[in-house]
Amino acid sequence: MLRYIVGRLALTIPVLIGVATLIFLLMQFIPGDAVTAKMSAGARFSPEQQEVMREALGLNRPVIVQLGDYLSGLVRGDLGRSIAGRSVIGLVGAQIPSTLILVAAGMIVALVIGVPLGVLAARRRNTLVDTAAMGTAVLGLSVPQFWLGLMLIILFAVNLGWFPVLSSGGFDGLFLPAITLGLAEAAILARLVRSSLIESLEQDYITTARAKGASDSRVTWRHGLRNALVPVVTMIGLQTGNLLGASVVIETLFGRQGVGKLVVDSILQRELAILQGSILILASIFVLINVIVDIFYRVLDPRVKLGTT
Amino acid sequence: MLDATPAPAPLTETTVGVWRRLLSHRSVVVGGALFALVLIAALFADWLAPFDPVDTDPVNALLPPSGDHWMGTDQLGRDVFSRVIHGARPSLIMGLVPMLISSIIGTTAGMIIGYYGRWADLLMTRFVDLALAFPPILLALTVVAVLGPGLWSVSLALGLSGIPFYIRMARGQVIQAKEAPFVQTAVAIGASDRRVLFRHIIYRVFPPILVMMTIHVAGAILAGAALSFLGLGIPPPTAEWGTMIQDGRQFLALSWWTAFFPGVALAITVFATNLFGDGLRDVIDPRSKGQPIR
Repeated sequence: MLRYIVGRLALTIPVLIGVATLIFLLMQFIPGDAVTAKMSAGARFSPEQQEVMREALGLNRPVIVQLGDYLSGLVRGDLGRSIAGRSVIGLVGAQIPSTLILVAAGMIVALVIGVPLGVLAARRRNTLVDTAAMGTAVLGLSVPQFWLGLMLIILFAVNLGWFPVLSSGGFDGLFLPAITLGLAEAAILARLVRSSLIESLEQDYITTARAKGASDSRVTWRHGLRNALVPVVTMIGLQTGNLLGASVVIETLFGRQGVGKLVVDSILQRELAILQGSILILASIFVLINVIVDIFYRVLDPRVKLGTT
Repeated sequence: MLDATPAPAPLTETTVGVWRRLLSHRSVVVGGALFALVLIAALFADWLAPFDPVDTDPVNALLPPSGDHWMGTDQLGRDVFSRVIHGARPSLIMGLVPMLISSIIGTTAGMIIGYYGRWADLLMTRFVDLALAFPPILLALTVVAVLGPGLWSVSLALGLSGIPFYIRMARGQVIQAKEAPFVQTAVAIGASDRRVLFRHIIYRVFPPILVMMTIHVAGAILAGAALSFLGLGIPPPTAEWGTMIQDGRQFLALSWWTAFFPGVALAITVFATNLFGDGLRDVIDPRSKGQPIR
């Protein structure tokens, strides 16, 4: 098992290098550089001064040299500097916990709503309950998150005053963003749990369990769901990507600090180094979470072969 | 990572049979009808909208819904109903154009590398894995940062970020189909590679791609509106649902209607597309019934 974990982690190194390279190359296409960004922020430089600054920042070197420099910086934990000269790793790093808490809370909402809904639909398959549950799920997938969040703010924060309008650090500030973030994923989970559970309830061991006199709910939850969860776990890994992506919208909507908000702010302020750093961090979190899911998957289903990715 | 390639539908059925089943499938009919309504709104917006969508009238700003203004007016006195109708245009463009870009490029690339294999396949698969390591909207955000805001740059960004999904799907289908007897037969009687790929294998590749295309439209519409909401998509004063919701956000406590109605329109459009895609999948690939749609 330890060998598997180490091997799986080692496999992420080339992926992360590739991700960093891809982001770096994409950034090269963004018009303007650190010097023009400073100038649009109000600084005045003569063309000679600009040239000197580009020389000092190494912006005149070939792209491949700059890339090498960037990657070797990454190894040392250096993500470059913002226009104001602050360390990007410090800026982005400070925002990681907030985003992770939001994503975790969103995932909890998704699980708490999605799994029971899927189980309910599977147990009452092809009845009105099933149709209603799955209809709600498609609807949940279709409602834009930023709009849903706004409506929740109007209802619960502005009119009822139960929660703050803007999300501060505390728990009540987390509630509405987490609900907003989690509902769409709950819909995806509900559909997956339903189809997976229906399939698992048709297996022989379910008949055996029933024959041995196990109650209906015991059969569903203990025997059926347990085996139906394997694809669900895989899906959770993929969904983390959705959640991390959606954090960009949710954090901006609720005025919540986080890496996602940093992405949007840095695009609007042309802070390319911060943009590069925060996207890299989000993608890395996604890659690492998928490693954890792979490992967990193996624990759940020992049949998964050693060394498969 | 998970390779979620559903098996292709066996091609035993006639086209007529598929059509009949499509037209008798509730999700397909309801979703299709709703989508047609949105399409009509987009095509005939100039005739359907009672007011000019960008005409300001500050005296009548933030009026609640009434007989004159069914959905009220916004902070500049523009008629929200007219703007919602006109908003169907950019939304459909942001849904359909990215779908066309990614499906054409991704499917072709995926089929070719799946068929010829070897180093191109290896290289491309690595690249696809890499691209899929990004949460999709982040890739689109980065491309928008490169291209700048606007309808076409958002469409291009969403189109480019969707390509890897089609490559993966098409490649998987081709690799399976390559070994199928009908393909082997075609090769044996001397059909050219191009003929084998685009006359034979394509029938295996197309059904799941078609389902993917529908679901992609729904996702792209949502993502495009989200980008506009973030101020990175379509700049004002164009009537666009995401931008309208962003505008309405500032006047939330005063006037719920400015943000409410564009969101409803957006949800209906995406719901219609999802429903249609869902039904399409049931009909084309019955074994995957109820599988998650993204």
